Amino acid sequence: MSFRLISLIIFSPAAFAVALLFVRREKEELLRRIALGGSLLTFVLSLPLYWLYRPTLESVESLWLRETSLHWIEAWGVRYAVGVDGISLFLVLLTTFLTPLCVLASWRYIKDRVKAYLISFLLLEAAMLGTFCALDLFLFYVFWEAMLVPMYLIIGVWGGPRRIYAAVKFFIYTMVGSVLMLAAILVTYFSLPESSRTFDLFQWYRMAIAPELQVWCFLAFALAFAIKVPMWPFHTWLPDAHVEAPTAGSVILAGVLLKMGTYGFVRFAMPLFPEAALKFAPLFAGLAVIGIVYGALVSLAQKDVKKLVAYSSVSHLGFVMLGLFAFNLQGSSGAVLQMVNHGLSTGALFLLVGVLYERRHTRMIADFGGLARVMPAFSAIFMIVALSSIGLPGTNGFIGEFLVLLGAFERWLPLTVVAATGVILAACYMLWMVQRVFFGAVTHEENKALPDLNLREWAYLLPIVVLIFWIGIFPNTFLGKMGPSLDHWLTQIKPAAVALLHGVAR
Amino acid sequence: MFVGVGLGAYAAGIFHLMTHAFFKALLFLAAGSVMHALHGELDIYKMGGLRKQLPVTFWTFLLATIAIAGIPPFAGFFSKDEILWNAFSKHLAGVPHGWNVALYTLGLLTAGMTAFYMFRAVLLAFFGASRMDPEVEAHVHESPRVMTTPLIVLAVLSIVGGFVGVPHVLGGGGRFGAWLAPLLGGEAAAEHYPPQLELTLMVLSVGVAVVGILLALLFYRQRTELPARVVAAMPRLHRVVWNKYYVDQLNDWAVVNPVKRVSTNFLWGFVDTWIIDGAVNGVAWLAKACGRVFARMQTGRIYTYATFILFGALILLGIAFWRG
Repeated sequence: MSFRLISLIIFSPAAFAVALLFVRREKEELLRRIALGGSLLTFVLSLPLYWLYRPTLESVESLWLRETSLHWIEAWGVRYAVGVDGISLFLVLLTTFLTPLCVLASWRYIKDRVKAYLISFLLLEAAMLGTFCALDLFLFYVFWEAMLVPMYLIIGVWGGPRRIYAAVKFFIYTMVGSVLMLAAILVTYFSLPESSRTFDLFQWYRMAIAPELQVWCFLAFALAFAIKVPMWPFHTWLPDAHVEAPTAGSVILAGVLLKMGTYGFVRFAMPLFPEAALKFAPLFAGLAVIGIVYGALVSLAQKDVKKLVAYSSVSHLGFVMLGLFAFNLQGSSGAVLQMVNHGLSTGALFLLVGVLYERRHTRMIADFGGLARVMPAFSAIFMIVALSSIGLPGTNGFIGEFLVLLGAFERWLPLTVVAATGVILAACYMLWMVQRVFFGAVTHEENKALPDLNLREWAYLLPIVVLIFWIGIFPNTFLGKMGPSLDHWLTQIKPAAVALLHGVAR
Repeated sequence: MFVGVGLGAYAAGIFHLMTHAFFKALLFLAAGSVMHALHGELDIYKMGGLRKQLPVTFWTFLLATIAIAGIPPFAGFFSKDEILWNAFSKHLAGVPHGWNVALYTLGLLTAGMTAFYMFRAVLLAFFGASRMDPEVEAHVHESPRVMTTPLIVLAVLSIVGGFVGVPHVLGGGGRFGAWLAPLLGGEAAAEHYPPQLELTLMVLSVGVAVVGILLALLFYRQRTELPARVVAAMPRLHRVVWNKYYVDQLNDWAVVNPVKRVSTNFLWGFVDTWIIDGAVNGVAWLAKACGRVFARMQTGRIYTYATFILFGALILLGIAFWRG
């Protein structure tokens, strides 16, 4: 692709962040409008990617939409290389789709230091997009770390009462994993012959890394990504970060940042070190299933709606990991679709919890009850989103979860049986919460006069509801484009599987 | 329905599924109409005499009740009787005929009880003196057309819906079964029983239903003191039945509460908060503690550093002597 559309998409939020610097901080309404305009423009720019990306099974080249790469740090072989395939395409679209909704959701909620907040948010978007598009490991690492800073600020400055603890925990926890990943990147880099040292992802795909080295490098990468996912037992930063973050921060955290972890497995950890990935597959599939059941059970115990949604992410992301480690087309396409689904459904749940919080300044289940009478439209949307999160047929969640279970069933039969109970438990914690919050009599005097959704809230909720049904009814809009990439992904891993089996046979 | 399908009498099962849809849907909708009229009241002991105020609801509810009780020629009679007949006559390989008789008797008794409890509901809700709260009674009104029209449609179907499956023995063609035959592959009819037997059983089942209805009339119209006396005679049975055999309690005790308790107290309260997060915070605490200890060495006083150097030198010397 000669036209640098992808770079334009990555850097346009950053450009708008710079533009905000030149607006006086008192002009809050103008600042918000510019940020909204910038994020909307980014979304509009990213839409053509869907049509430009036309994968065919015949040529590997067509599986990628790439920009010609540029030298960045020539002495080390670092290049600026960006592109998307059928996997990152939808994560890019998810990011550009959610960001304007988040800006809308912060319109009244953020009253303090609006300018700094919006700048952080736009920089965060740029870093996230860069992470999904980077095809050079050095570049990837730069974006990956760059993402931490604005998120740290968003939690630490605009968060709830325990924001400092949550922000520091999030930062250090993620950092520990990332540093190990950096070490693994460097180890792999220096294992290359001196003349051809490069960080180019495609070159790395092609080279054969010694099995012993693979084990260590895979584990280092996997730890970094497992913390981000988060996989059990590396998940305890998540409920704290989610509960303390402002609404939009939670939406991005759940909607996009967690996907960085699963995306890291798909793009780097598994295809770069396939033999190690296969070797540790039982471990990761097992942890995924523990996460599914554990996350669901702990959600059941929560008294705070936001914390419940946070723990449910542990469960949902477990499904994504299980699908990836099934090593087949159903499992992996279910997993990638479920990444998008979780971004939409859980993102929407956080937005909805935010709506409640803005009205009542509490998120405790016990403080509500009977809201369906007071806020019918809000309740209806909440119900739709909750059902999509459970995976009701006709909504997005069903397609993703079903494909994951189908794929996993083939490889991990007993584990999948256990994982399937997660579907039932999801219905338990979600519907029980919905029952206590929305049905029955209005038990609190303060709740009797709560206003229903306003226009701005409709504007950021309705698009998600539309997509929930779209994916649920026409999943091929999405699955069709990711199929060839995942096919190719499997061919990157499968030969290793064959080799491994031969090794065992010998 | 399940008896029919369980016996492999699929046509009879599906037939009953259809007629059941007519009268049970009607019963639910009519009950809804009553609730609507009484402002959400569900307790039939707080109704009574509604027949006058809610004529359409009353008549349709009554027709559905007759249908579900299995009185000919209402829809329920044909479908229920076909299942009962199958229960009696359809042999399953390796199962002695005694089981058939037992199954049939159970079905028959249940049919009688159905007739009894359904007429009990009709009698308590629509007949007798009103037991409504005065406030509720003042607002009682028949439901609007949008609610009564479906009742009427379903009532008609509850009356005539069974005619698609009139059995051979009554001169019908058993058309419902024939219509499903291509799908189900036609069932071997129990030909070796004389038609008189089938007719006798039919009369028996109608008789049981009638007995059920008469008992309901006796209990809830003639001698209204009887129910209380029965309860007094069998208090324990009454308590078990009143509490729906304690199935809900059993479920709460065996499944719901343990899951909640384990999730809240063990997984979240202990594993998540103390073990996992304890490890995470423990690492942080360790780093901090190390920092505090080592920070104390940086006092900025020359003589402290000199002391450390002295001790260091002594230790090194000691090692040198010991090894040398």
